[in-house]
Amino acid sequence: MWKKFVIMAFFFNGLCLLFSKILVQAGLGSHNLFYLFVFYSAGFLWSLFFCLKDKIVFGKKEIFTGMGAGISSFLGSLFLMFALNKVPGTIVYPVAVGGNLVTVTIFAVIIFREKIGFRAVLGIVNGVVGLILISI
Amino acid sequence: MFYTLFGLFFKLSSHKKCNPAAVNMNTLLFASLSAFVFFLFSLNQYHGKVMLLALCGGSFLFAAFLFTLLALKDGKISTCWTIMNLGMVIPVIFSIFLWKELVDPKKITGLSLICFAIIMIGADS
Repeated sequence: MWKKFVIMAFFFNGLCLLFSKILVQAGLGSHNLFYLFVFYSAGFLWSLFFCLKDKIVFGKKEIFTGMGAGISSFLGSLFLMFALNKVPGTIVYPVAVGGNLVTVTIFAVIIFREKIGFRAVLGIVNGVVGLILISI
Repeated sequence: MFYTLFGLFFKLSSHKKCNPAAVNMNTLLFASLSAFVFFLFSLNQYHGKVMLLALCGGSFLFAAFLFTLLALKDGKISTCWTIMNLGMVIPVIFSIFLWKELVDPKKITGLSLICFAIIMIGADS
């Protein structure tokens, strides 16, 4: 069952990313801050509804990690939209998403002392080469 | 850079064994608050079409998080996170076929390598 859920997550995440591109293609890229405010508020309201429904209790650690993740997610999305105004989506998305996964893996090894195997090293090398090929 | 920070905060929440649904809600709350502060000090104004697009996009964002959380009940976090991130191929496909963005063999190779890298990193974790 979890495979069906993860495929749904794949499609919805793709559609969510697609909407920022639609905004730019419609010539409405200058409204990026209003877009992001409504975008995140809509997500928050849905999330709040489900948290209240399931009576989820949380503490300071959830608030602080959520705060860090939320502010960085907003700034990441803002710069992604700035980039989409100037650079094709075929370059912006792979660099933003693929590059992020590669750097997160590298930093996870440095900061959290996570151990990685041969496949992850191969993935990092491929990711870096891919990013260079797309950027030049 | 900021998406990397975002990913690292999620790693941190996983290390600290935080409740994923609560972290998700707080993430969306603080992201919307940040956007609101920036919006207040900007020249951006209300726009009907933008609002409609943002409501759809925001609902899809929540749906992606919700299905990831449901998948995490039985699946591995690395696999779920990786497959969710691979969703970036959807806007790339639209960019190529709908908006006719030009892609040369070098960029196709780069894109394929990045997709391969995402799969390899996910498979290793």
